[in-house]
Amino acid sequence: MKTCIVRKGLPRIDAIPKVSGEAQYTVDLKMPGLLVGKILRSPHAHARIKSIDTSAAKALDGVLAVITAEDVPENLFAFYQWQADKHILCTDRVRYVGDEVAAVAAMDDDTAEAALDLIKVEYEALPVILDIDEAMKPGAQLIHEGKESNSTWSVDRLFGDPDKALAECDYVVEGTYVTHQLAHCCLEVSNCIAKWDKRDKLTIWTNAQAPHTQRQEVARVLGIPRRNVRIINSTMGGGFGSKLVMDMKLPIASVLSRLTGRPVRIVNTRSEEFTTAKTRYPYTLHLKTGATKDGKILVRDLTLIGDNGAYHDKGPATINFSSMMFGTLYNVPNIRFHGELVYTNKAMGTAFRGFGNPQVTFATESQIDELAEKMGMDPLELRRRNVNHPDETAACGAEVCGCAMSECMELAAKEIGWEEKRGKGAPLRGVGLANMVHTGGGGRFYGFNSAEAIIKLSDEGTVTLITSALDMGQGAHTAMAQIAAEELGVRLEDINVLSHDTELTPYDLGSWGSRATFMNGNAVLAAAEDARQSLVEAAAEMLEADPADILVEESKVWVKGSHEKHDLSEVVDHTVNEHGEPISGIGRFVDHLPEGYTIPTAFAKNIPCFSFGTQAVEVEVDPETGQVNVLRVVAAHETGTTINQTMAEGQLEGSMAQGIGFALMERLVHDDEGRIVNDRFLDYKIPNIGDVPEMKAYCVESVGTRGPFGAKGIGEPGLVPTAPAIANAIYDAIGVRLHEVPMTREQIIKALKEKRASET
Amino acid sequence: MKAFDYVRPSTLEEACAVLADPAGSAKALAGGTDVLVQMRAAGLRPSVVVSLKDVPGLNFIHADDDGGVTIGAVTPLGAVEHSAVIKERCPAVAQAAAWVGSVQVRNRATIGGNLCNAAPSADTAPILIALGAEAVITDGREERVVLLEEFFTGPGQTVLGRGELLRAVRVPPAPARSFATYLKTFRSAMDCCTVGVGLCATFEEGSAAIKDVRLALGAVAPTPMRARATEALLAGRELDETTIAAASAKAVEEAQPIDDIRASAAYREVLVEVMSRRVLTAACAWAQNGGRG
Ligand SMILES: Cc1cc2nc3c(=O)[nH]c(=O)nc-3n(C[C@H](O)[C@H](O)[C@H](O)COP(=O)(O)OP(=O)(O)OC[C@H]3O[C@@H](n4cnc5c(N)ncnc54)[C@H](O)[C@@H]3O)c2cc1C
Repeated sequence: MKTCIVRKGLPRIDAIPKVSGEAQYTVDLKMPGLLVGKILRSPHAHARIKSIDTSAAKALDGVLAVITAEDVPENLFAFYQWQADKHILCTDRVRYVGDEVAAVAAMDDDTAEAALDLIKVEYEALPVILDIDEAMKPGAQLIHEGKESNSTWSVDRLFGDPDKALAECDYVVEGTYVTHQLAHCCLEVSNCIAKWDKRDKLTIWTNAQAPHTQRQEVARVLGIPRRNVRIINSTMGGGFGSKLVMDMKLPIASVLSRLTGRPVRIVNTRSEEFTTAKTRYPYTLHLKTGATKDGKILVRDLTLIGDNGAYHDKGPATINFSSMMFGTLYNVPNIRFHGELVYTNKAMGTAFRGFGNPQVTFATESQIDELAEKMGMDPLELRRRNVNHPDETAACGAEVCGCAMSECMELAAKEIGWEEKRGKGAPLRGVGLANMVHTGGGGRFYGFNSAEAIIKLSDEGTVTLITSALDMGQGAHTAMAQIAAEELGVRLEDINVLSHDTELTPYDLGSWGSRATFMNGNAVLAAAEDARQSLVEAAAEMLEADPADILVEESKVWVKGSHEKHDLSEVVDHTVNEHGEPISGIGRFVDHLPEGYTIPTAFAKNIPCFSFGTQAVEVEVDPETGQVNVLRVVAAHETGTTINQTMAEGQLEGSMAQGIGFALMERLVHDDEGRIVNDRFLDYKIPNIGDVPEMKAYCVESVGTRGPFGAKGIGEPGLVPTAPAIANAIYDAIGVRLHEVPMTREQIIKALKEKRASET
Repeated sequence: MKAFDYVRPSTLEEACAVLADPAGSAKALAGGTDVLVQMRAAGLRPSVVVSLKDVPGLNFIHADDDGGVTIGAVTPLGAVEHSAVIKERCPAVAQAAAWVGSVQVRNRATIGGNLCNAAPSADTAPILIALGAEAVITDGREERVVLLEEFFTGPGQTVLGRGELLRAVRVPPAPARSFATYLKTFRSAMDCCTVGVGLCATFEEGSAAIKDVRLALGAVAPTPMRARATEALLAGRELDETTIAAASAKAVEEAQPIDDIRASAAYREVLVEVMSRRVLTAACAWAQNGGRG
């Protein structure tokens, strides 16, 4: 494919504002009359609220409003309204440490904090349940009164005949795998300013990954018309899924603003971010894999219990997505999947980069190695015999069009030195690899998947691109600008991307699920095509040529065969000022549910395109301290067409670092009372530059997707296979298999001790 | 963060006077890498913050006539890490300094701050204790000197009285045929140590027999501690595998680790054994190699 701007590793268009500090984040905004809002949060994981006395706080000088449940609408909220279970402020019960109990608006920080200290809440402690097994015991304390049990949602999927297949297998392995709560650790914490104006319009400045759906959510919980709510984003400092569903500070700040008549800002402290900004859903996975003696995987059976935390959010969506990826990987013909969500008195889970897939892939790809071991087969060879192929439809309905799984796997294996090192590396060193499949374009989870974009040219030929693709640091704006510039034939620096205001941008589901490049990119491409058509017509008229002979490239316009190149600005100036006809374009991409989609039989048809990938790692383990040193990670991921090489590699590298954290370091730890004890970076460790090993990211191009220029999303896949690759490498190094992440030093020491005991 | 006053005194007397004022709760600020974190997140609310940056005579590394080194309290750890004098006379101190945080942290963080913050895990403490370093303390008028091993009185607590500052740390000259090193274990780069072990072993001429030894442990007790029973076990003994094993086991006996987010007490005991063994094994190899690394 000959391209000028797409498929180049061009610098990000927001690099200079970010590096120079000019970029404005929501916390940088200043506004006349701005008040400080703060939330009083529950110190108990589970308790009844007996009374709240706000009189002293209200009497404090500089306090403008103090609110409790009595002052906010009574509506219950959850991402899915049918699961609504959370009030804006707790009414009579708190269900996790950090639950919102009351809030204040004050002149400044110190006063707001002092006011919180003056609110007297009387609690009556209730039994605290932190563990899913305990929560599921018959007769367990109910976390939500009136429900039948703490098990709050479940799903079953069955494809083929797993029981029959199990009987036909020569080898079956079975195991339980455990993952824990993780924090997203965005450098920019969750924060907002709400302003309820005199016309009853509510404007919220925040950092939303899905401003349009959050606008609906705010309206829903406040019981006000959606048309009255406007959300304005600023530069964002990370999302990773934590900024997808509305945070309660939005309606809380809104009510405080309505009561005071002034804008109110609420900003999480880092501790609040760790304890209340929601987490990755922890899974406990009971998995069985069966294969024939020639290495064909016939069946997979998974029972997965997700720890929901205290309230509903993205749990069902996450588990459903897990089931789709589980059913698609290796095109296994017989699949049984049971997923279940269980309430506990912990912070609620939400979307998190990978959306349930890293947890499941940790289990499935660890178990492939266990199966290979049992069969006496090289794990790479076992994978070779089961790879997904292009143009296959999986039992679960997944329609895999483009697929470069084999290429990714062979490349990663070669680059890590699989043949030379596996099973024969230096002592205490090991290599391991893992595959994955992920969506490369979001999903039609809302019954549809669509996007729209608008382009307008100024009278000087610069381009304003209005897209709903949010840039949270992943580079979506640059990718959108590249797509528009390529199609229109203008220079990248002539494009200005606007995506920050729900009054400006078309309705959109948001930036998640590796969706933006595929969905919004297609809409941008269509808008650019539309604008290009007008541009070509205007040029043809001005240059007295046939539109079919007009060429536009790098903001120059000329007639095929002629050497006389005109600046694009001449053409635009001509058509605007001679004819009064400015140039613009609108594009829409609607991705309807395909034929044959039904939930029980063909659920995974929901996914418009799949992206495959492999990671291979080399580790060194100190058997006396349990320290795992990741020496190298090689990632080979399918991109369809790589829109921007540098940014795609950046996405993969960032994901691998996050994957190393998931594998070896990260976990929110609770004490017996349910308080998170590692609520700061001193105690909650994420990999930093000193921990990140040599990384090599390969973007493997492939054909067969409907993405813009054939591109697929690459935002999420990169952390999906990292943890099992590391687990497999640890096994290769020291012969112990860990079934729980993070694989800490202590766990490794314990596992080695058990291994020695079992050998003697 | 609560509002507070900020002063930048230009003499030691002035700084100590502000710190001594019983009306307020003043806090000295050197690099601020502990103070600011504690003010933002850990509820430290001083009424006055006293910057030491403009106080002359606190940022220096001096080669003493006796062969030792004196390090001003407000010397950045980056300077300690790279100092030619320190690398020559007490390289293990440079090595320990290099273990603290990141380049950026070490450019701000000072050696005095690391010691006065008195974290049981402070990375410079074990090796300085093992080397027999002294703390030079001033109240702005007079100085007193205490052994660093007696400087710490509890987590975050030192012998410094109200109005007193640490002016310098004095590292005595290294005895002939002595080997010193610091080993740190951590969960990730830029982590407080899970267990730190500092060793200074002096050997008899031409052998691996111990003449004098100091072993100091970090993050296994309320303060950085000397492992005196282990030292007693080692004194006069020839370092070999058996002795090293016995000494490492003894170190585990004297350590009093607790469970915290970084590690369980049981795992810290594992680390004390492994790390003690490793530093002693390194010392033994050094001695057997005729005092070369
Ligand atoms: C990201 C990060 C990583 C870190 N990693 C490590 C690590 O790996 N190992 C480690 O040991 N530490 C680590 N620390 C902690 C910290 O950097 C060190 O303890 C540092 O040496 C403190 O020095 P400072 O000059 O910044 O002290 P400050 O924060 O200025 O002061 C610390 C304390 O000492 C007092 N004080 C300072 N100077 C004097 C003086 N001359 N006399 C009397 N009192 C004084 C202050 O009042 C305060 O109580 C880390 C900190 C951060 C933020």
